[in-house]
Amino acid sequence: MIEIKKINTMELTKTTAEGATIIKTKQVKAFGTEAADALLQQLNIRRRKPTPHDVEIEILYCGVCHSDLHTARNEWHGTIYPCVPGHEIVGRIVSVGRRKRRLCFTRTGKS
Amino acid sequence: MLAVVNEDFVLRVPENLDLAATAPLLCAGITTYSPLKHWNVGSGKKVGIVGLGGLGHMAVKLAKAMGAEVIVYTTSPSKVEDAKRLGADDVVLSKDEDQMKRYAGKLHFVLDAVSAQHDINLYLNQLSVDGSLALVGAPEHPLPVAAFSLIPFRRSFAGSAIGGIAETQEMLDFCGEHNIVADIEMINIQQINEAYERLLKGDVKYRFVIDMASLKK
Repeated sequence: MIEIKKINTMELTKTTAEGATIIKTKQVKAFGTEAADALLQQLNIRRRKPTPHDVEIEILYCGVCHSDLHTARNEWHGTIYPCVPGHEIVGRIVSVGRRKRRLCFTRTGKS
Repeated sequence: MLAVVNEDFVLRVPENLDLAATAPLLCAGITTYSPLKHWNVGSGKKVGIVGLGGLGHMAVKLAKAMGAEVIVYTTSPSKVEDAKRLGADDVVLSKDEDQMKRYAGKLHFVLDAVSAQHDINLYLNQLSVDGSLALVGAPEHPLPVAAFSLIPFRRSFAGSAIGGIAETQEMLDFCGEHNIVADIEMINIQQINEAYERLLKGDVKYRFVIDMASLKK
């Protein structure tokens, strides 16, 4: 069981069977919805600050899938709000965690 | 806009592909690639694709690149030309009873990408011996299945969902080799609500992609 709790505006705690860790977060702009019957609009959300296992990506393009619509409108039930739908994400790597084991992506050209 | 992802879930996009048009591969691409591979779609096989939308149009491109003979099933006469442009060898209008007899009992595999309620038995009956139909669309209500759509020919009715990370990378590399991307309509993020309404009507050829630079506006 993983439990995530907000301790202040900048940090969350994540508690698992192994113990508790503090996750530092930062605020970013996003586009999402606060409720099943609300339109999508600009929101501020929190992203975790990258840990050694993380890769930070600047999202350049995101595809729109019908399942995003189902999720935003809670049609499959279980949607947690605020909801930022979107999973067909491509972008540019901004930073790579210290553990960088096997990543070496380069992307030349217009993007 | 930033995303922070665990390193095990990051993929590499082939350099020769248009970046915006590869975004849909991460769901529509893998969701169709995975069952096509699993059910051994390739040279010498007749494959049916039901529904020409975000998933269906990718399935046509991928199945063709895998070497199969591709038959598209659609309810819309307006999509016949597009199906052929995307690579279909033949198109069957599913509301036409005579056309539906053309490949009945002859297909090795059918990929059903329709998310509206529809009669699945029509497509199960296109399968030949040991043929399988994989459903990747998600209709809201259960679909009635007649016993005699499955019993003869020892047919199977299955489902499939996305694919693992390794397979998704394999799919991206396959698309790189065959120069396959999605057919997209680019939008600004401010147009997303309008895009959702158009999506409900199937009014997109064939995937909206958001230019995330518009978030800064």
